[in-house]
Amino acid sequence: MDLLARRADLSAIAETLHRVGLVQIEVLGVTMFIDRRRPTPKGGVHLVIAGEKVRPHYTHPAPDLDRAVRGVAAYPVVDLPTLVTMKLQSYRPIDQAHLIDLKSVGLLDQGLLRKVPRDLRDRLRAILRTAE
Amino acid sequence: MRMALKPRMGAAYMAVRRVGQLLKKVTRALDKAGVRYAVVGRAR
Repeated sequence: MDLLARRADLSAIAETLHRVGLVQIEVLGVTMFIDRRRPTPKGGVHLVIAGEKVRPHYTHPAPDLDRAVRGVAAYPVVDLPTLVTMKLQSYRPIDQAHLIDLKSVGLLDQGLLRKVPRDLRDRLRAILRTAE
Repeated sequence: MRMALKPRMGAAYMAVRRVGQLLKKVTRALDKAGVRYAVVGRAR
C-alpha cells in the first residue's frame, strides 16, 4: 500500500510502524516498511513524501496533506482530482489500469480535465477515449 | 481449465486479504499515534 506523509513525520511513522512489526528499509530511493516475518518489498507500505517528486523526472511533486479528506473511507485519502493527477504523473501500466477502472465506474469525465495540470491533460484525454 | 485457475484465484484472494489487514493495522496505529497521513494506493 502507498502512504502519503510529510518528511518531518518520518521518524514518528517509523517508530509507530515498528511497534506493529514493520521495519523501515530503503529500496531504490523509496522508503518502505516491511513485515519482519514476511519481508517482501512488494507487500510492504511504500512512503510517498508530500511536496517532493517521487521520481526526479516527474514534473509535479506529490501533493501536500491538505488535499487529504476523511469520511470517504475508514482512513484519510486524497481527493479525486489529486489522486488522478498522481496517477497521470506516474502513468505506469498499473496506473493506467487504475484510471481505466475509475472511468469504468463513472468517476472520470471531461469535467476533470480542468482540475488536473495542463501538461497531464493529454494523458487523461487518452484514458477517456479508452474503450472499457 | 477450471482446475488450473482455482489455485491462482485463491492466491489473489489471499493477496487482497493481506493488503486489507495491513491497511487496517497501519492506519489504526498511525491514527492512535496522531500522525497525519493519507492512503494513496492499496493495490499490489
